Amino acid sequence: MKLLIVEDETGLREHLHGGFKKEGFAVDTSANGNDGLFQATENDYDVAIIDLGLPGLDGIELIRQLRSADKHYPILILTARGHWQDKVAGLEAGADDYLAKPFVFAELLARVKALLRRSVGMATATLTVGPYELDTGSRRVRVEGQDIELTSYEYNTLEYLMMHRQKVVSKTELTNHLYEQDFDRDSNVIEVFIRRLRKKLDPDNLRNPITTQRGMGYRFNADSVAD
Amino acid sequence: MTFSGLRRGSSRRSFSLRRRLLVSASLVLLFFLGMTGVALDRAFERSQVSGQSERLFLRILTLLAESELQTDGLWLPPYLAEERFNSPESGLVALVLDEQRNVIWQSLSSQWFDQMGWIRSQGDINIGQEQFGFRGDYIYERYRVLWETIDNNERRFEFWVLEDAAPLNQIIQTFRQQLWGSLAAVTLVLLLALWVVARWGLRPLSQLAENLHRIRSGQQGRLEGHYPRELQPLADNLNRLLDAEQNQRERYRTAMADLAHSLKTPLAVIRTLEPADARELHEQVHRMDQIVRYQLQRAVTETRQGPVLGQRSSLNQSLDRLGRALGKAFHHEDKVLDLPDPDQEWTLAMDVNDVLEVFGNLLENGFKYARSVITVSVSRSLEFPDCWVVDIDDDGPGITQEQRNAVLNRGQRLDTLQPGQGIGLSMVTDILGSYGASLRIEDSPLGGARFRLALPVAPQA
Repeated sequence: MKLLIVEDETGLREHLHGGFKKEGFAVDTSANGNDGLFQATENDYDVAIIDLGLPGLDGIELIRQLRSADKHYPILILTARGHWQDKVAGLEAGADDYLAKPFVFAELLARVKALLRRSVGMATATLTVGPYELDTGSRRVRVEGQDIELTSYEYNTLEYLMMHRQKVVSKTELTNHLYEQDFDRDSNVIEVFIRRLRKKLDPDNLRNPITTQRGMGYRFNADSVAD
Repeated sequence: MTFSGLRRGSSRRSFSLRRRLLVSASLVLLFFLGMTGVALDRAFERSQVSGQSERLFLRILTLLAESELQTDGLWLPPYLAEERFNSPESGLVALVLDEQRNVIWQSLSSQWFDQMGWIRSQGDINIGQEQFGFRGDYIYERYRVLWETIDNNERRFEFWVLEDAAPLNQIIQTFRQQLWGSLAAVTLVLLLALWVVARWGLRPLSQLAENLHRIRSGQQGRLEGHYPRELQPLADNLNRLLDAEQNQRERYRTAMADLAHSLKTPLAVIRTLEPADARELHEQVHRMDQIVRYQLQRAVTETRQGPVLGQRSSLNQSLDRLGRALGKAFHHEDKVLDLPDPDQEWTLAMDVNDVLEVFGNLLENGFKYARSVITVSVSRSLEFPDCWVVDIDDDGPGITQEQRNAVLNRGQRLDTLQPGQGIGLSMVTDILGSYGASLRIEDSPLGGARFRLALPVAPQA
């Protein structure tokens, strides 16, 4: 999942960057409102964390402009003062959740994950499709109750495909949501991950969980695995 | 509060009040006394001169009475009844001129009279006309008469009487000296009186300035003594301001002491912690964070010193905004916030941010603890006149009788806050307290807790 953090306080920004990276997120960061707006409108994210008190463009205006630019991914606001007027103003501008500073990273992570689940219509942290069980809380995958070992990138690829199983996900989209901006887009690493995922999820070639739609991309094949 | 303003003002002070009063009053006084002096001087001189003119004219009439027109001309006796006409250098001279302006008679006193040429060179005046004037050291009066002879001939004569001007000038001069002398004395006395009046009248102001100086130098805390009716309100208000500032300072001191004291306990715990005890460390840091937030909020609420006049905000709008915001934030929780359907406008005599803070905290708590539903209802009650009574109900676990005071943090010291115990409700009670509004916790008919608030209704616009 790709995450944007707009926070002017260097220490906190780097702390969050490290924390989310460790949790398997592809993280872009920005230190002020104007750059934040540029990144947020130019790239596609799955979720954004935006501080309200920003130099340049302030957080509420950033969110407002982002929403009018037709960007609909979930946004969580951070506010230092914790007054309700700020929270309400932020939510009215288009944010989806708020967290008052100071906070514990675990709480922020839980909120961000909840927002991500909400955005794809998941009610709980576990997504079950046929024999496949994706636990977004602990980042584990089970097939018929048996844990299977996945690398972080393999998990991220599968998570994105399962969360968007109703559609075909292009290789570009997958790259955009799994990697940070400076990733080499010509690499065929996605194909490698898909091949390895197929081997781990369906070692006997019985269910064909990930299908390739030629020229279009990949799709988590919910129908075939549910049978 | 500082008095630097006063000090700044004094560095480019123009004129003191007393000096302004004295200078302006003195100028006015000098102008009017001067005008009076000039007017009196003129009036006296005019009356003296006109008196003199009348006297000289009387002498001419006496001369006329003593004159006789004979066939060879006008006849006057060489010795006149008025002795001064008979002795030279008496300062009183009489002359008679005929139509050709030849002197046909002159008094014996005119022996060394030196103005004869000037008199003869004067033009004629009309018959019956008199003329008064000054010439050299003399004042003169002349009068032209027409005399009819027995043979019906008409003869014209001009009678002159001249008198030394020195006595008249002397009288005027003496009067002038006395007039200006006494006016100067009066001016001096009046200026002195003015100075005394200004000093006495402005004494309360200097007393005020002196008091302020003492306050600035720390010798006293407020303005002392009684002031005149015009200054008393100023003194009272200054005292009120000083007292408020004193109270403020006292509150800051208490708040600082409270903050320091309450932070020391968690700090003490942290110092005794084992390096590995991250959980306890986290709890103590959380507690310190809560203490700081609570104190900051309290500083904001307390500096307000009671509700500000003229505040009003719509409860409907605040509830509506919070409902939408919280609905978004608790979207995943599958809980319902049931807001009242407004059949009228509920206007509160409260600041809109305070309303948001109060209901934001209470509704957020509702979302946290309710099982499935939170309801808000608004009504009027006889128990709380001039108030909107707002009930916030939930179907959560409820709050036991014993917990209720603790939840509202009543009478509880900050350093006894249990980890995890929210400060939101303490903020709510503080804000409501500053408006004199009440909050109590009851059992809800929904099974959970009911927060009942009585909020001040805004007066009709």
